Order: sequence, then structure tokens, then C-alpha cells
Amino acid sequence: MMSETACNPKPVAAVSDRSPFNSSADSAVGDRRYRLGNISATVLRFVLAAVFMVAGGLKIADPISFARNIVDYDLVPEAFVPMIAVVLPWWEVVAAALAVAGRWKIGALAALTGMSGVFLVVGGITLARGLSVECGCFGFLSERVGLVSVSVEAALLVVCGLLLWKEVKNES
Amino acid sequence: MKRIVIQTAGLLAATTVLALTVNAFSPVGLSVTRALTLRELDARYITAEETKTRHDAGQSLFLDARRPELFAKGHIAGAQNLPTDEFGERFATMAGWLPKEAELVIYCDMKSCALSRQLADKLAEAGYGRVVIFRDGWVAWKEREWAAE
Repeated sequence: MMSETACNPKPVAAVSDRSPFNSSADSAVGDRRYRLGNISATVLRFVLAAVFMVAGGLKIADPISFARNIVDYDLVPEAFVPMIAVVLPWWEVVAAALAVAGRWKIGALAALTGMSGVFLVVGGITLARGLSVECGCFGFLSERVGLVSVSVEAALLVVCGLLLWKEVKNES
Repeated sequence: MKRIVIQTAGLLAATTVLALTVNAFSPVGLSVTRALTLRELDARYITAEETKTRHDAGQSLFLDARRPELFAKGHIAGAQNLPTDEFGERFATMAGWLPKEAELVIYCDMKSCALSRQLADKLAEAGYGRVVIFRDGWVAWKEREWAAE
């Protein structure tokens, strides 16, 4: 007859459970870091959303100014300019809203990351060509494309990318 | 990955429909089925031919908005240099002989140059009510081999 322990062996404790370093204090520190990380990510998400909502909102209010900026960049055929001037600002606003509302957060952050990447590439090309073009990033408030505007775009891209990565990691 | 792509594509597609719908009813909406005309982009923009007509008539004052070193390399015959980036200093000396009722034709290098528009805005703020912008600029004038210095 087999012993009970042979049929119903006690589960072997995980290595981490047996570790002398895995005290309840370490778990508390880990929990605190996890919460701080989540709070920081939430704050960043709200700040990012605010930036894109203002940028998009200003362009929605004055699409002709944004269309002029797009023409000045001289990167797309003029026939496409009105469509871009009308649609792109709405992408910014809706993606920003969804990024904080919690619905389709991953898709929203991916859209914002993609747009940030495009803005950075366009800014970089414009800088390399030495053109005196208004950024158009914040409608009529925009300054000329230069190192500052390109740096801001790079920073936005990094923030968007990090938030997207965190969101994907949380869900997987 | 597939979920990210589907969510992103769905979001952008739905937003595109929303944007076009709002644009159709908006008082500042644009026509998205064609390129915008020069005047639609900016009521002050004039074509190369319109610029040439004004130049030949000799009634308008031409102002070059580019940096002095670019102006020195070549400019429209008879134009004066008023660099946008030096407006504060230069305008003080030019204002004396720049009558407010004169028609001013502003230009810079080419289409993708916002300096002419910025200079036109500054002049409008200074009280010049007759300002037009030769959008295609020095490059287009030179290509047509019109009068240059």
C-alpha cells in the first residue's frame, strides 16, 4: 500500500519562498515601488494627454493655419494637405482622451507613439533641410522648427513609448 | 501585437470619420477633395505673374525677408532687405521712408519659408494695411530669369 504522502505529496515550496531575503518587508517595498510606478505612469499619461489635447484642439479651431504649415514643410503633395489638416488634429485629441479614459488605452498610446515618431522625423528632415518653417505643433502658437521643437518631439516620443511599453507589460 | 494593431487601426478609422463629419458642418471646415488655392491658404498670397505685374508697374515696394547674406547673393531688382529676424532694429531706420499707404510685396526664398508671412504679420501690426506676399519667392523669380540684382 502506498503511503498518503506518496499519493498526495506536499507541494515543494518555491525557491523564493524559502529565500532568507524574502521577508514581508521586502514584499512591502516591492508593493510600494509597484504603486509608485503606476502612479507615475498615470500622472505622465495625464500630462501627455493634456499636451496632445491642447495641440490638437488649437489645430481643430484653425485648420487653415495648420494647412499652411503643412504646405510649408513641402513634404506631401498639396492635394493631400486639407485631409491631413482636418484629420490629424482629431487623431491627437481622441487618442489623448482614450489614453486617460482607460478605454482602448493600448491602441490610443500606440497611436500617440506613432504620431510622435512621425512629428520627430518631419522635424528632423526640416531641420536638416535648413527650412524656416513654423512647427504647426500648437496651431497659431507654434514657433519655428529648431533644436528646441525637435527635442520636445523626441521627449514626447520617449514618454509615449515608455507608457505604451508599460501598458503592454501590465496586460501580458 | 495583433490586438495593438487592431485597436490602433480601429481608433484611427473611427476618428477619421468623426473628423470628416465635423469638418463638413464646421464654419472653418476645409474642402478635403482638392488642394487649397493660394488665396485660401492666405488671402495675402499672390502668384508669380501677379508679382511680375506689380514689379513692372513700379508702384509697389518689394521687401526681401531673408538674412542679409542671402539677400546679397541675389534678390529681386529694386527690393530692399528687411530680415524678419532683425525686424526690430532694421524697421526703426526704414520706417521713415516706408509710407503706410504703399503696397508692400514681401518675399523670401521659396514656398516653404515662413519668414515672408511673419514679416507681413509684423508690418500689419505696425499699421501697414496693403501687404501682399509673393509665396513662391526668390527661387521662382530666378527660375523665370526676371529682373534681379
